[in-house]
Amino acid sequence: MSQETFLNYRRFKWLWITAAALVVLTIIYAVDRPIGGRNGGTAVGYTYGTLAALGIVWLMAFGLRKRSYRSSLGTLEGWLAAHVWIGLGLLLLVPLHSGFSFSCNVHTLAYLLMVVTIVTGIWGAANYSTLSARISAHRGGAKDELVVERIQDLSDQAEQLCRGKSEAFLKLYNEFCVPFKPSLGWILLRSRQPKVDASAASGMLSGVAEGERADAVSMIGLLDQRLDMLRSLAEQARIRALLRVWLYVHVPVSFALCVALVVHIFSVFYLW
Amino acid sequence: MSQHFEIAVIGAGPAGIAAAASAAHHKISHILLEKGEVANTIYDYQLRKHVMDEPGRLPLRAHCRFVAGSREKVLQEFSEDIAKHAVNMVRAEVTAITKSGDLFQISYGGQSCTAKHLILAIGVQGSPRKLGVPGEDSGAVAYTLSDPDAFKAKKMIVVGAGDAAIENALALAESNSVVLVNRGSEFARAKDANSKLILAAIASGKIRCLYGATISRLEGQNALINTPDGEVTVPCDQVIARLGCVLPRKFLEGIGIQFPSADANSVPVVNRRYESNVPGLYILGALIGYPLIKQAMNQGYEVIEHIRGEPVEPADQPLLEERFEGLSGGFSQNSPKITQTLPLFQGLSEPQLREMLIDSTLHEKRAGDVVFEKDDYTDTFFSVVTGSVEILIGGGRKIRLAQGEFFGEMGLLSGRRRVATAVAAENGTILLETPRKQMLKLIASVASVKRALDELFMFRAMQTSIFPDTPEDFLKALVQKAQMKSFKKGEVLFREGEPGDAIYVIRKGSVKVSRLNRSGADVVQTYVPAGRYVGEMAVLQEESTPRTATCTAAVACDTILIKKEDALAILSQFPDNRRRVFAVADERRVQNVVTDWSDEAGKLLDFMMREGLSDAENVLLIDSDRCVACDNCEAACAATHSGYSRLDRKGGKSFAAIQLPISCRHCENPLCMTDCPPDALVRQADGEVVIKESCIGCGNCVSNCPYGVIKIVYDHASTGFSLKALLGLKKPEKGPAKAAKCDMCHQLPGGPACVRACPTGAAMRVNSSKLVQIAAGRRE
Repeated sequence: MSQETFLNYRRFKWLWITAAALVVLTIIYAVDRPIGGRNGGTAVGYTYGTLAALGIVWLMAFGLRKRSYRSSLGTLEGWLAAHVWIGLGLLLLVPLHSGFSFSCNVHTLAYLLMVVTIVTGIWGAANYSTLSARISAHRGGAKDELVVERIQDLSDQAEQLCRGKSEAFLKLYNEFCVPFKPSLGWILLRSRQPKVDASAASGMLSGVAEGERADAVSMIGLLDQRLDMLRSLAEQARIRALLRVWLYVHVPVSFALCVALVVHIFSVFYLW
Repeated sequence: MSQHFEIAVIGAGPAGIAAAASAAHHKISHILLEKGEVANTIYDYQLRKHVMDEPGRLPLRAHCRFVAGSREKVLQEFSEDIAKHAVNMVRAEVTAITKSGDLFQISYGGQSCTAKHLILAIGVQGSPRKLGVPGEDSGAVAYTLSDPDAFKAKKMIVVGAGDAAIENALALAESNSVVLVNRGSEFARAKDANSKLILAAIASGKIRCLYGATISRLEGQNALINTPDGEVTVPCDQVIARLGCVLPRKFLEGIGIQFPSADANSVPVVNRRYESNVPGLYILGALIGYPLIKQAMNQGYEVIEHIRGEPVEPADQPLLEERFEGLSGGFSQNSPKITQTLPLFQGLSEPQLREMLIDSTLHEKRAGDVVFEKDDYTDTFFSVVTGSVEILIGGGRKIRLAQGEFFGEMGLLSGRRRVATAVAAENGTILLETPRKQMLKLIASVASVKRALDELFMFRAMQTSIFPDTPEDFLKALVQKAQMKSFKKGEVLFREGEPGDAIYVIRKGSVKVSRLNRSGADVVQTYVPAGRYVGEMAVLQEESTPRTATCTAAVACDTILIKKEDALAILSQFPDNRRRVFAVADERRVQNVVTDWSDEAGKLLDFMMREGLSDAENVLLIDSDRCVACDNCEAACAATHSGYSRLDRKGGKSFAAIQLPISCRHCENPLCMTDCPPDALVRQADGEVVIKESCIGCGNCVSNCPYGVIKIVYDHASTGFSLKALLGLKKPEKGPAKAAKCDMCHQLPGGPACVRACPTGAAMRVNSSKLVQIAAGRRE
């Protein structure tokens, strides 16, 4: 309905602020020629490291702000916009801090954890901005409970048709009245769409006795409708899952990042 | 040879008994004539009915007893006191009254007597007001109900909104299904206690009440009832109509008593000694618009004191003195001023006036003092007793109101904001502020007040909306020609293509405007709220012009219809007006051709209208395109409101990209506020409707809200530390029930928590004026 989202909040205010900061920081980084090469131990390195650490603490504070329902400090939408763009900025700020040196140690582990957090954040932001419009119950579509009822209805009708019918008829029923249980893989990738295969159905129909054919055709119709609804039900569940599942990675990994960050800082000052 | 008495009292009701007992006490020769039972009206009450003693704060002054209690007890005490004072009561019907010289000649039951003073206290119960609808004479309509137990498991309709109707409905509802037909939208005329009882019964579903409803005809076992939502058919076995009574006017006029107007509602005028225009003839009680028992008895006492030549102040005098305290001159000097200077209240009898004054407040203002601000939600009515007041109507323009004029009438329409600021214009301005409920009572009972206010409404509506640059005289003349026209929800004011013959100024409600689009579908274009007008385009030209759009009432509407020729006459005479109306018409014409109004947007707007959003001051909408179903809005609401969320995101309806959660819309006409016994529902100055601590949890608002946004919740009473409670062995005690709903987080500096807690900006709170933009996909 409206054009403004948390991404382009106030005409990308936080994107511009972050980008401008990064441009300035990159120029300083490029101009700076420290003795011993660029690394986290130089003045610029320390400054950038401090900035990045503060940034991470502030980004973590989003969780607190989200739950401070009485806060009058801006809107949550504004905070989310800042959270997204500043968080993305860290992807560059941290390499600037380390002078792009990575190896197999706790410092790089902290960076990797940060990357995982940010990538899942990107995934979440992408889900937020592409999937919300597809929650059909929000757009006048039937609520889940109602869809479930209708699916049950369709199954009942199909079963009704099966009463006293031949083996071939029941075979047709068993073929297409399949249970549909979406797996996590399906939820994430949506690989296979269950549906009534029209050619297979017409092939099997020829095996059904002449007198039962009309009923068989209507049963195929009912079962197809049922699968359709199952699919849309699963699709809705999938959307709702996608809007949440990323958080189960994003948040725990961000806490792990905090631990790694503390270890990184501690080891730098005491063990280096 | 006929007997002579100093005083003859006709009617042994409360007033008559009190007067006769007082006369007997003072050993004045008297006769009390009664054709039926002692206190006939009370006698006709339902058996064991509780007789109330309102108004509570008024003291009783009489030589006989009266306290609230059962019908039987009250009647018993009256009889005992009549006997105790040896009142000379004669049971006979009065057949003729004539006056010769100073004496009244009274014929009764084949005898006659003469009396120097005649006190008429006959009440009004003799002749009930009829329904006056087809089918009434079928026998299915009764005008009294003495034994409600005579009906069992019947479908009953009770008509009326006064005490009698309420009491009958309540009694019948014990063992019958009862539909109460109320012509108005409230129970303003009823005693407070009755009003609470009936509202509780309606809230609990025990009684179904149709508001704004009238019976149109009775057919067999059905009653056809006109309601704001159209005609409905209600099955019924018996109708009990309690529409009050008509005065025995012919009889009174026969004695020479004059009435102030031909109006059926007008009552004889008496002076403060209750003496009518016929010297020596006094009238008491319901006949002069004073229906309450205690008031009538006080009058009976007072009138004897007057006849005895003893100066006596009315019983309500201390209350009035208190009201006028702090005002220079007090009650005695200001009271005559009020009657002389306020033409609006000249049709009131002295008792009505006194009652109105007891409820009112007088204010002394200095020049520049603000009486009320524009957009306030206060609802009292003001009259200018002395001095003057300026109403600032915007654009630097002012209306000056002098002595005798009145303002604040928009407050009488439930839920309307003040449309302008009122400021005292000179020092020493004295204003009379009357509460809404008292004014509604006067409008309902005094015809001249109703007429004057109706005309004022029309006048002001025209002055503030369509013809602001017209001299008052012209507008007053126009008011006489204009008509009030009401439309039910969904009724069409006029259709696209019809020849235009009138402008409609919308006084109450709102109107949706729709046009046929290129493919011939009727698409909603916009809606026009109260205070504006529709239909101007077609009347701007002399020649007949077709309507360019269809206008339909979005909710029940009151409009003022101004005929084309009357509107044209004003417009041609006053070019400023003409320019203004033309500008509005041009703007709408341009909109008609440039707006790329899609079917979807029209349907969305229509959906919002159907869901009653045109009445919303502040409604929570969720943009489906952005809502990620995180329910942080509900979490925020619960966290800021002691654990109970006042919004249900999933529960509401939705259409296209708009979700309408179940949450308070802070309606312009908040139906929840209609019947709140402790007046706990109040509107804040900025439009929020909030529930105060004084809520008693009766549930009236819950059932009155059409949108289901109010819930009853229980605060858990804090019982301190308890090991049992900790171990779950003792359940926490339920605190008192309270109604809970959205309060717009008026206690939080940042505004509504739901909106601020939405991570994607999907939740928004908007005013109905933004609906058109939202439907069109534009948001500011």
